[in-house]
Amino acid sequence: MQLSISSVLFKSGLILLLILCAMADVVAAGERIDTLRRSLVRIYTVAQSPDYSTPWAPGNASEGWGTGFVIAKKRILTNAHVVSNARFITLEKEDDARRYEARVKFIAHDCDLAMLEVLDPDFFKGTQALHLGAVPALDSTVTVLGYPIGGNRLSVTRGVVSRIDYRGYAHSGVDAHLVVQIDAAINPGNSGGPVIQEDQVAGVAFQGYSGMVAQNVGYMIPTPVIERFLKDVADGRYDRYVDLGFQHFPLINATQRRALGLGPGDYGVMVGEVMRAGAAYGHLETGDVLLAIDGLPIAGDGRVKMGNDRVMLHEVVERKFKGDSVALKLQRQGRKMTLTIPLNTPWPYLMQANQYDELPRFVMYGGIVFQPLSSGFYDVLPNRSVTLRYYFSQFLSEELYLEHPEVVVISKIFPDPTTSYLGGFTYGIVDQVNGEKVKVLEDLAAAFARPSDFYVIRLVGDPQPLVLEAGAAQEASQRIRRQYGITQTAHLKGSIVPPDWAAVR
Amino acid sequence: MLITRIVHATLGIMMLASITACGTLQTAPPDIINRTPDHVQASLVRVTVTSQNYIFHRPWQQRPPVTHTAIGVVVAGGQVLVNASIVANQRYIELETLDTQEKQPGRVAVVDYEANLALVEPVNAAFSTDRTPFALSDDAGIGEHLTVLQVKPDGDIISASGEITSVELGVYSLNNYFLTYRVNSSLQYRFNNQTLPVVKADGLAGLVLRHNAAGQTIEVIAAPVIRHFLLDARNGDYEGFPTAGFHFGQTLDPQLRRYIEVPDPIEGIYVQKVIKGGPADRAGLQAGDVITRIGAHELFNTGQYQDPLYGKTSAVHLIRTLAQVGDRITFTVYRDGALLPLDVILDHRRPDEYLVPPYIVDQAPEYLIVGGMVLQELSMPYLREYGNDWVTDAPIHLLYYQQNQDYLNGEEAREKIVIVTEVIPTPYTIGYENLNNVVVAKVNGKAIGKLGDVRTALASPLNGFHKIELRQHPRVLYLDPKELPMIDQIITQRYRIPIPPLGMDNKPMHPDRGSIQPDTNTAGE
Repeated sequence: MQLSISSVLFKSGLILLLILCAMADVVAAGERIDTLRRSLVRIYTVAQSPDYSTPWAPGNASEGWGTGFVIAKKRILTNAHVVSNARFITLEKEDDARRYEARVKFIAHDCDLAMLEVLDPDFFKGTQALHLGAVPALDSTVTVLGYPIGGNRLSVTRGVVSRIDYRGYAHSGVDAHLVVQIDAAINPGNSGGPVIQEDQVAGVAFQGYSGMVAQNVGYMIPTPVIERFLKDVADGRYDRYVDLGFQHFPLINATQRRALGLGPGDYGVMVGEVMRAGAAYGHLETGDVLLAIDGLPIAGDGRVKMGNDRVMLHEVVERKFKGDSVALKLQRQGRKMTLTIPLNTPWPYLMQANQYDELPRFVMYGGIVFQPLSSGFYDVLPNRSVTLRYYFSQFLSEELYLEHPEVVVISKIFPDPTTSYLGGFTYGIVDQVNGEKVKVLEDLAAAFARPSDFYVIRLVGDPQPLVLEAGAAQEASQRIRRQYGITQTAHLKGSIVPPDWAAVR
Repeated sequence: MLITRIVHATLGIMMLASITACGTLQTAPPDIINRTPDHVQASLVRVTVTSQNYIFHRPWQQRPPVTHTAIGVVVAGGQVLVNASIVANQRYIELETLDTQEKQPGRVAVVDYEANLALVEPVNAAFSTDRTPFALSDDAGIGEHLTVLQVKPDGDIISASGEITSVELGVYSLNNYFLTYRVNSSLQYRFNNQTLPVVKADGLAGLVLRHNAAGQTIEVIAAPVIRHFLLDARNGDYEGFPTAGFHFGQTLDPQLRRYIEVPDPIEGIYVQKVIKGGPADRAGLQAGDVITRIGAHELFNTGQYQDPLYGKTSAVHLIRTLAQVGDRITFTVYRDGALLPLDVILDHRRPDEYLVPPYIVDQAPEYLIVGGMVLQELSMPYLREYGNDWVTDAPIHLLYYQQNQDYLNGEEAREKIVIVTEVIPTPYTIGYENLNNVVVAKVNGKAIGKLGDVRTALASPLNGFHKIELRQHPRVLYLDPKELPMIDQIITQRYRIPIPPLGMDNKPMHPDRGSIQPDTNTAGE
């Protein structure tokens, strides 16, 4: 059962580690731990992850354990990946044999944090809330608490802060935020545990490298990210991170600087790709030179000075919320100007992000199953054609979302007399039905709902039409559902595409 | 059925006629039925080829030379027939008789990398003129026995016989499908010969295309393909195997048939896509048409016709092999409820007519180095440089362009896709090092549709800079024209990489030096 935890904790080669230290060395520390352990929670989760190859099925259940800790106002923090897709959660605390049922109150998959609530108010008797501290300094010592593999009781490890950087968060697979790297031993099962410095929370242990790749590299989510999460949910819902939606190009090449009208020196980055679904679209142009963000001068490598650190300019946006704006000072064709840009969440990223707590979207008609391209669906594909790989990996960079905000794929064709000749269409991408563009899965469902003798499906890059006779296909739907035990013919909830993008424009 | 045979017979006569016309003093083989092993030996030649391929990821560089041998077949005119793969990017060819072990340099007379066939001739014609040429055998069918001839290092001939288990179109090289005999047999000896003759009675029935030792199958280039090649080669300028320029699919699905309103008695193939400007397009063929007949051959819904010898065979064979470039073939097309004849004049689609050329052989890859940026046209050989797993390892956007080149949106009106393949690091290119495989859209405001456009566009910098616009991030880069000579000097001196001149002429630096092997694995490896 521990193994199922490690599978939760290992994503893209990153391991999530729970930290338990052998605290026997220092007597004074022992007293400190006696206090800290009253904040610790061991989390048991039964998760049910959807099976994208049978999207109507309930999915596979698995057990996992992780760590959490109590903070003010009777809240419990842990990692999102500890409680993702949870169907049942119980909490255990030190010196208490009982197990308390808990529920997810807020979950933020883009920064791998979750807040739990406990049904029984007695749970908090004897617990002590931890307080959030600052980002620890390089080379300072931190203590990690948690319930990793190797035993059932609390484990404590200690290490130093090795690096403060901006890195990918494995849980969603597409997000990058501030992380703090520490050299304390971290093992699967530690996720969600507090990293302590001077009796305050310096971060949440959440991922690491497998020992095959690197030694003594563990990562924690630092307090600016945690505080942002707490602030975001203060209004009762989590709104995700916001972004400017463009790529910058460092200006460290002397010729490039001169051509853009800049003098020598270390300042400014060029605007490269501006994403059409991003906030900056319509404001920034390729070739603009960004000079400052919210008053902070931008260096040629894209870093700004915040406090004592040089961080990527994204960090300024990272700490903002839906509805906030950012002020940019820039130079366009030699002219200096200032722009204020309202921020949003660039939705096309979500196609490649790991999805949790959502059932897979699909439509089945006449023995053919249609599913939108997503990370979960892509992962279960037995073979990935060049076209599918292109649509998945180049969805943003080639702006494929403009034509197909949702890439609707023929994922399965059930053998039946009506589908005898259709096998060659499997894994094709739907472009049109009866001459109408299919931009999102709803368009496909609507097309099949419109009365017609034939439904003629045109696929991307394959000009042979897939023809379904409406009468025969409807009969086949019933037969195939019975025969193959398909409990549902469509699930359309949970689209990542905003309504204005889904509409035909 | 009869028609096919007549066509074949006619081709045979034309071949004989051309032999006479060559004036090679060749007496026609008197009786080839019971040729003795000595005669067979006298009609085979060992061909040793040393070739050197270009490295498309470093287009200024060639791989170390490699040497392969083939057993070529003497055909009319004293020329020697071998697989094209062996002469690809050849630097030196040596011919050796098997009986007298006489050696002489040779040269390529005609080569076709699509059908994987080549004719090599000795520099001195006397080398082979008194040798009895092999004539082509009758076309072989399923169940007949063929003999593969192998040659020991001392010149002795070893034969292996086997039955033809199937005759159908197989892959000769990428996307090139031609008639293939599958023979059930194993080759006992491994002499690394890249061409082995296959005979029926005493006539040449084919050449080994590839050999699957585990499955004990030998794939053989079939006689009709060789016949097409030889006929074309004898008729003045070699024109290659024709295409009609369209994609088609089957019409088996009753739902599709009812939708496109094709009644049951009508059988044929569904035209998916007509390549713009190709032979079918010029003849007026349209997507959605159903072709019921090609010439006199009725087509089935499967995309096949009934061949008298091979049974059901792909209609591609009718166009690519049974017809020649320039032939006018009548397609009978079912459109809007009526049958309609369309005369298609077949043509060959040269590799340089593709957006992404399928092969580039016997010539150096064209490239430019501009301010350290290496620019090339996207090609199959470039993608194949990503190794055996190029289909998964090559950049996905480039693979997609290659695979969908006939379907990409045409509004860009480009002949080729020009990419920055890498940036050679110099003090002037700091910050550009990570760029690779990005598509060049414009240079100095001018759209780039082929590498030559870059040369032209560089003649007119904008505001004192070269502006390079890219399809991908970072979208725009600048170079200083005044710095280019300094960058070039560093590249030539430190890296010893030659820089092609940026003059207005489009000629590559080594016009007759070449590049890559077609996609074939030949026997005996």
